[in-house]
Amino acid sequence: MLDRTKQPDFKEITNLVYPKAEIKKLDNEIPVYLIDAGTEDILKIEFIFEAGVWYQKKPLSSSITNSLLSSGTKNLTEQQIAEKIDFYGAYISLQSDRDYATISLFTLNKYLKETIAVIKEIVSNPIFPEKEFETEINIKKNQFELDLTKVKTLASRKFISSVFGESHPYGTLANADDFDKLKTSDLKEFYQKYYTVDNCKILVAGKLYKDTFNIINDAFGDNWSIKSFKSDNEFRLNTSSKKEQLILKEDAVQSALRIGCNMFSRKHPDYAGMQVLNTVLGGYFGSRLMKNIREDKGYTYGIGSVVYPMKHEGYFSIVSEVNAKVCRNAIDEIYKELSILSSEKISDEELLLVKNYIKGDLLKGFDGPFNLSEKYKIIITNNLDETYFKKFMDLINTINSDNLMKLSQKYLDTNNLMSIIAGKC
Amino acid sequence: MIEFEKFELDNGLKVIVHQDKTTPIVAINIVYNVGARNESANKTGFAHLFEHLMFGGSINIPNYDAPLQMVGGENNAFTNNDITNYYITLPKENIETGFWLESDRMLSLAFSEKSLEVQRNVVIEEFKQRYLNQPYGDVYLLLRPLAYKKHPYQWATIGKEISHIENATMQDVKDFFYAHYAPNNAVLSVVGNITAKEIKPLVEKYFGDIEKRKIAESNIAKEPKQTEPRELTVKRDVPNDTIYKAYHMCARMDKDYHASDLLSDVLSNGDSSRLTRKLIKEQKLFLELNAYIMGSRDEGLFIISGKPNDGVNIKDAEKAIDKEINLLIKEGVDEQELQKVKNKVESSLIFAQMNILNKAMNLGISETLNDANDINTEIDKYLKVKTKDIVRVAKQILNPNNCSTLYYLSEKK
Repeated sequence: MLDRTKQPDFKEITNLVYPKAEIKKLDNEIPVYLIDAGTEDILKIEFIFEAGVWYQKKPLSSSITNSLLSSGTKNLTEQQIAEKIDFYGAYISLQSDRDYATISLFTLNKYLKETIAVIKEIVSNPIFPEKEFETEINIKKNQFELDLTKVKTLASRKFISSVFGESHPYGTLANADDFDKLKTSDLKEFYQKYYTVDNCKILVAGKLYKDTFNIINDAFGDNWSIKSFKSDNEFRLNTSSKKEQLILKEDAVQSALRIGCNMFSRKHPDYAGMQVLNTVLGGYFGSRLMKNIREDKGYTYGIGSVVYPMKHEGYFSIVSEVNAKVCRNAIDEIYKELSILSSEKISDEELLLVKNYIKGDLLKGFDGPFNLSEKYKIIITNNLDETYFKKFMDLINTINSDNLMKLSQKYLDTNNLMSIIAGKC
Repeated sequence: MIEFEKFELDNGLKVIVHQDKTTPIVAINIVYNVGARNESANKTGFAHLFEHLMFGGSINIPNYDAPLQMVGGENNAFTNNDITNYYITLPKENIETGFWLESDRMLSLAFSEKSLEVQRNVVIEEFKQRYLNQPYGDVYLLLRPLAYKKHPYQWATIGKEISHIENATMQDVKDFFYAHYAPNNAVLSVVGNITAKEIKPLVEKYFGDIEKRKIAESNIAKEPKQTEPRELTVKRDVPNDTIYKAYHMCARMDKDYHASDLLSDVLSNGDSSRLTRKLIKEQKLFLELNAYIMGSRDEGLFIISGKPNDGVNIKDAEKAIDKEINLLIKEGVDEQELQKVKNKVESSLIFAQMNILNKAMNLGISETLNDANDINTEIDKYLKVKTKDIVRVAKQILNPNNCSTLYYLSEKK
């Protein structure tokens, strides 16, 4: 007879096995990382440029330059680009963040030559036409204004600008009138400086063939740009001294919360430990914050926390939208959980569970070519080496509850955290 | 081509197994054939509330999540109008823990009062977060009852109103469980580096002794044919006016489903699609404009929704949509245009199989609706559609007498 009260025996995950990327160089020295993986006959090719907000002189110029790359080139109109990409069943994704800007092509292998030729045009010959620019700016501005009606947007804007200071590229915020001030000449200038051969890396994942690299080299191996003007900017943090800030929204039925502080990048020796500590606190469905604030009190639909690394700095943040009527109780409970983290050792059972969960999650993060590509992107964009994730795994295996309590005392001291509330409290 | 094996236990549980040798992870997906369409009009939101309660402990296992996390697994679930879907991913070596957990909550729940009380609150907060405290959040709470007068698709999965969730009792919960949660009302699919031969004894071990149950008769009212235009105007604190046009269309398994889907793609899938190119990019009448289908099991909705540009009157914007529809009906689509949307569907079906969890879900949901193998034959059904089919379904669907229009206006304007 089956004893349903007893959990089946299980194995702990001890190591990580994943395909290695092959690194080659195009004729023009652009490094290409090739990952052969997956069962389907497709490819994701990502062009990575150091062209994020970090490098912009004028608000919005980084993100709008990126999103307008496909709006017309020397040889193709916006309409022709769209027709071609759609006809070959491909997708283009244009993304930019605080540090990087990327162009990703998702394509069937059988149409690689045709689709990569379109990407070459977009990357090397964009002209930023006036008419398409105006349409895009108008759409983006409206979306921006819509986002500003959401409590979560209000809270995260205030949080990021308070943690880094508005003069820091990680804390700088765009405002509605910045959309009106931006000109196509700003985009052209930004493009010329940063979308260059010597500022580009290419990441390829999917089913690879003998000629895959050659097709990419034929399209992108020439000298399609001048040298970049990149300078290593330095910025100073200018963290707000206000402990708590309320952005009042009278009609809110929920209040958005952001509680946290600045933190470090992936290169810091305490980074992996902080990820473990954060998971205990709010990094998974069974976390302490979820158990207390959602599953025990029912104050929210969801609560979580992140240790978010960027290239130069990072931040720690607790994120939730809570019933506005119990907003203060929720904040008190959050601080209670933070204090416990610094004053009581995590039990062996909870720590084992969290370690196993993280390792399982890591394993899942290497499943399939798109996930693998995301993992390699972390290595490439942070100038880490191949062994990074293996070392991360080793650290998870060895860290103990004493180490974690010390990390909490050092980095999550409640006196150093700031709370942002958007809504009512 | 996704190859799979299918077998059924004596108690009626259907099991589908697909081997993917490239991954160390397995996905376990379980679809229960119950959704908001099975609810009664005075107890709406129940299928979804119930989904939350499925995590509140089962008859022999007080906590669902912790044992799974302990073995490196993750899980979640979702409910829609037709089905409730639960899924797990975990390292292959620990697959047995997944079966142990899923089978126990199929056997019976703990039915704890505390869990019911907390999950009522959590779901009410979900209602607020997603439907009330978001700009445009209540659109489907308004549009569904406008388009459906008899069929239970007239309410959203979250429910008609918060009070239905507040008033849920333990007896309601128990009745719902025994009426819908049973091996003979579920499909289990497993994907990973495993074979049916390995999986079968495990499934027998954990699910084999769960008794077959009597499933509640589904007396789902058929929606009468709409014969005249319907409209509703509301004003809300949002930055822009928005228009939603909901047209009745065929059911998911109908022979016209694929042509209807391609019609929506011709109109708005991709930057080169008709509505995007003409009304957003060229005429600048809209900031956003989309056409999409709901893909529901029973007769569904074909929706065109758009946000007119600043200074554009919503009625003028609507006329421009009608003009494009009439043009399509009058002049048809050319072969190249149809080929383009077919190519796009073909690649999106391939991209939908990029990880094991998607494959497990697609197999399970297809089997629940009809047959798991549909995921392999789906593309042929799209490829068979002809240009004249697009025009024929456009005439049928995009008819003003078949349309419910919601004018969702900004108070500020």
